[in-house]
Amino acid sequence: MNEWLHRLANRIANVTVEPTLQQRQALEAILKDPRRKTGFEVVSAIASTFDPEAGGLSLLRAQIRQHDEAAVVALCAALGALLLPWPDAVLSRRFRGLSERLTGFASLDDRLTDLHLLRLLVEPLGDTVGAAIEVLESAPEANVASLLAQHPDIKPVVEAWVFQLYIGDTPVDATTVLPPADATAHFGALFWRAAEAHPPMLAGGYFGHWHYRPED
Amino acid sequence: MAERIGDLHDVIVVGAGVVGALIACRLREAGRDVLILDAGGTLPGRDRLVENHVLTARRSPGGPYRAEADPRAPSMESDSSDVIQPPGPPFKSTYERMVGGTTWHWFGLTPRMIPSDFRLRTLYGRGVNWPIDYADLEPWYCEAERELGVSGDHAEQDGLLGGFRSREYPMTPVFSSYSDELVRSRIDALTFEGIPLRLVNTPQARNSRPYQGRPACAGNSSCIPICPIGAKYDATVHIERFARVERGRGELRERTVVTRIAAAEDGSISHLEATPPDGNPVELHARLYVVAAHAIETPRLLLLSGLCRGNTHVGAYLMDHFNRALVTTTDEQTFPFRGPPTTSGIDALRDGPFRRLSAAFRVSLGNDGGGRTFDNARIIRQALSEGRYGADLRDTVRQRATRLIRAACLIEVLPDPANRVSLATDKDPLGLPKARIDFHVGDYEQAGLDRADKFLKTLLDGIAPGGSQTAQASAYDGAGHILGTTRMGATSSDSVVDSFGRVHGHSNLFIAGCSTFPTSGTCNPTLTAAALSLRLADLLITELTPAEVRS
Repeated sequence: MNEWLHRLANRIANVTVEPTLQQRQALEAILKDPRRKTGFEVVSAIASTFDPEAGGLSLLRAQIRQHDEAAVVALCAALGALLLPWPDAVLSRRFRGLSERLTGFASLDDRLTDLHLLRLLVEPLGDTVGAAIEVLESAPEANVASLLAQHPDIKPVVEAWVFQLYIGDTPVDATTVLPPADATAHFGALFWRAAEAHPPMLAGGYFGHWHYRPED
Repeated sequence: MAERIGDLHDVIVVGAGVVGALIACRLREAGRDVLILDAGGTLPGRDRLVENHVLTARRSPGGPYRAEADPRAPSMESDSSDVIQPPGPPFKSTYERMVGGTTWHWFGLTPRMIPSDFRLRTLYGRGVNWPIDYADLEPWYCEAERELGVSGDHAEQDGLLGGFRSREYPMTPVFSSYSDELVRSRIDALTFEGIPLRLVNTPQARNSRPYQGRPACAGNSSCIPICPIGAKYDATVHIERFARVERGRGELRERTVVTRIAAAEDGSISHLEATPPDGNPVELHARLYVVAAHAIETPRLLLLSGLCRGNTHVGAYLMDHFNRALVTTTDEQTFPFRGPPTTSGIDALRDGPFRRLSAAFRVSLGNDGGGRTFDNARIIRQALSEGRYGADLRDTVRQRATRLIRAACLIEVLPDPANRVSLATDKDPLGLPKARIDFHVGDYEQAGLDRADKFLKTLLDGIAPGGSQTAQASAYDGAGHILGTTRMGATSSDSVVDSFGRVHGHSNLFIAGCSTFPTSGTCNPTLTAAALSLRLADLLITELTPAEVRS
């Protein structure tokens, strides 16, 4: 299983990475988690019946989407664990820089944007992430909306990219939104910063702070 | 053949939610031998439940709990639910079968019912009267507020709509939200149908200071589906206390599904049949039995057991409260998404002569943006559809997300014999018939829904003139208040239990909780259920005390 996921991760990220013992243990812990039972079973079934090297990523993605959300969550969590730290520093840096341009927020967290990049790559729109990066970087001063009007093929992935950073969930089509693979994506969603609030379930501060205007 | 095990307990309590836990705790503290049974298990730590919620696509009140449910006691939200509904207007509220029950994701709001709610038939010719009145319950309301830990404004609530208070709240009020203060400053001149409107702090089982070992609310803004720090009361408080009591004997058996209540010829209950986790059925014996399994499982268990034969009231009069909401933008920032989801409300429309014609309602002011009316994703999608990116996007989201006010009406539902729980032909994982719910919206409730819509528009037009308003898409939402189905009354000709919860015709069987409510009133029902439970516990302690000692 680990070997298969390792090959899959390499293929998705187009890099070579040797997982450390710690990473392998993290992966195994995720896969053994009883809450991931459904996902584990589905991923196992995919692993035993499908060779990503032979069929290509689009077929794999189609396979995943036929199954439940837990499959996607488990696979993404597994990949996330396997790939940390993100192996391609250049791609990571390019993605983070463009994320700041697209969202209007500076100094985005490295790990958070890496998680979002990985998630985008494994979803159906992932095939167009590279093209979107190229187009956006080709015109660093351009109005993004105008740029997307000239390149409608990348508009869906750019919208999904921004949505994911603001909300934490991943839209895969007009009606389907998948939960994050990692709670960090939810708690780090930019919506809360824009709303001058805090993510629900994280303490907002002292008792009664909600009675007052947020502190700057 | 069921295997008989164990002792003769003083009391067996079925259900480890707030009602069962309170009764069990009281009895054990009085030195009694108490066994609690629950179909579900003890949940893992709150951190794991938080993660469950985040990592699920269906972020509903039951979201964190679906993955933790025992397969033999599935969540009502799951595909394998043991509750089915035929096509038609659905019953929208759900409940949990697990230790702690539905209080895991209750709102925590604890207004009292008002005196008129107990006399609806006499005053307005609607529904039925309760066999008790507000004054009977008032001391138990005080006791329930102490047990649950309620924060409230005594002076503001004392006398509200005729409801007197004999004791202060154990804690001072939870601070109102920043948004409430804006509403308060603009509501003074508003009336609806000639009724002046006033904002009132909402009493709630949420700590405004450290209380009984639990912390003060830190404003995590996630009371539904879970308070991650335990500042909001849930029934695990009393389950844990039950385990710590040094008097009497006490045991909690979890993942043990009660499948039948067996009665002797004279109607007295002889034993319970239950299936523990190992799957081997057992018989359990006690002097008294209390069923506190909420308003769907309780009548289901009575029906499965063949009790109360010929009593057509078993399962009947299923009620909820309907929820209607309207969200507006305002000209000033309200900074929602911080603190409890609601801290204030409007009580003026909970009673009046209009109840002859249409349902009454209580109004709550939301502090949670769009709440269930629309999610935060809609704000992002709309901004993206307008071609906004970068600083423009950030500032637009800030502009729109920080200027929201939500108002919602909690609308009364009358008891209707056609709204009921019965046994389905489908079977659950133990081979027992599932519960079937038949439910429809009556004219009285529809009139209340229509009136609520008019009210919400009047209110938000007045508070935020020219604001952009969004109404909830569905005709109504459930409030999670599952009521009725084994109602209290004088005799079996009009009810299932007496005013304490004793089942007519079964002298040692008691039902506790929301299923005994004859009418719904307009407030969140948990405090009333808790007060009734403490009143019942007091009776049970007396009944278990030998007559010579009592005298």
